[in-house]
Amino acid sequence: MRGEAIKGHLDMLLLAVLEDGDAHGYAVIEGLRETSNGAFDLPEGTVYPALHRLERERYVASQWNKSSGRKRRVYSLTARGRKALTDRRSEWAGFSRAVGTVIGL
Amino acid sequence: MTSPIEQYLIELEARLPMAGRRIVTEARDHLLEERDRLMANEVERMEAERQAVASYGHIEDIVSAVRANGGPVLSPRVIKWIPWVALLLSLPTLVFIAVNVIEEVAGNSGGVGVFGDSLDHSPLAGLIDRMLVFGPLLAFGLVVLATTNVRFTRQERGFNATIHLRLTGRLLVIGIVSGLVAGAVVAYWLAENMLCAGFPPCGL
Repeated sequence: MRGEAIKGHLDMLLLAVLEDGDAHGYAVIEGLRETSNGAFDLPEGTVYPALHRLERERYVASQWNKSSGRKRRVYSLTARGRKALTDRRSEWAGFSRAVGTVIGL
Repeated sequence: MTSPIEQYLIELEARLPMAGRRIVTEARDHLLEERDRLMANEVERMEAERQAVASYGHIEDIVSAVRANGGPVLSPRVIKWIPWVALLLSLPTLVFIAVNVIEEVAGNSGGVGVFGDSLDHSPLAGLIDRMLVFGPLLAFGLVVLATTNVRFTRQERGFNATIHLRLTGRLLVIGIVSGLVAGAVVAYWLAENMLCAGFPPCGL
């Protein structure tokens, strides 16, 4: 799936990956790739600006962590982010049901 | 010879001077991790770096993503400090008002005040006067700026400014207090100086 198709849902996908636990950017992107079985093909570097925006909107929080000699920004889901994820899951369920009905799935 | 990763980071930093070091630091961490993963799979170092850079994305894609996601006028770290700075700016005026109220209640209206008249002869007197009046105003302005969190995103033509409310309890309390104090002080100041001509009116 190309990046353009994912763009509108990237926030929900990132929040869902972080729901499993705190992670640094690389692990978030790996999580996205693994759970989608490689279906989401987007330039990895474009995920970071989205994470930064989610942080500004207080859906995620982050802090620097120095592990194995490398400085990393570790992201975690906030209570506000958890609620947003629940809301978006519900919207997505309704949307996919409606599309499925129309196209005869 | 500069390695592909270093070359990429130099170009990224040059294209995003306003995005700060965070984008570049995270990019470096990501690229090195991907390079190490590839090298663990027996990919030669330079080739591993080239592959890591390729999967990270073209510089143009990253620049577009940064612009599309908007850069904040104030960073989260700065916003975190704003309530405390605002409180510090309002505090002298709050103390000043409290002292005057206490004196009034104690029937010492028009007295020498808690500092006596020593401050009146101090070279700091003018500065303190300005601080008492403009401190809460500045604090209120800062809180409004932090609360509204204006963001600029690049559109096909020009930029689009959007306002996202980010209201925390701390900002709300300090915003209300500094707003009330600023309003009261400015009203008092105007009332006391309304007959004076020029700007700033007499007293400041």
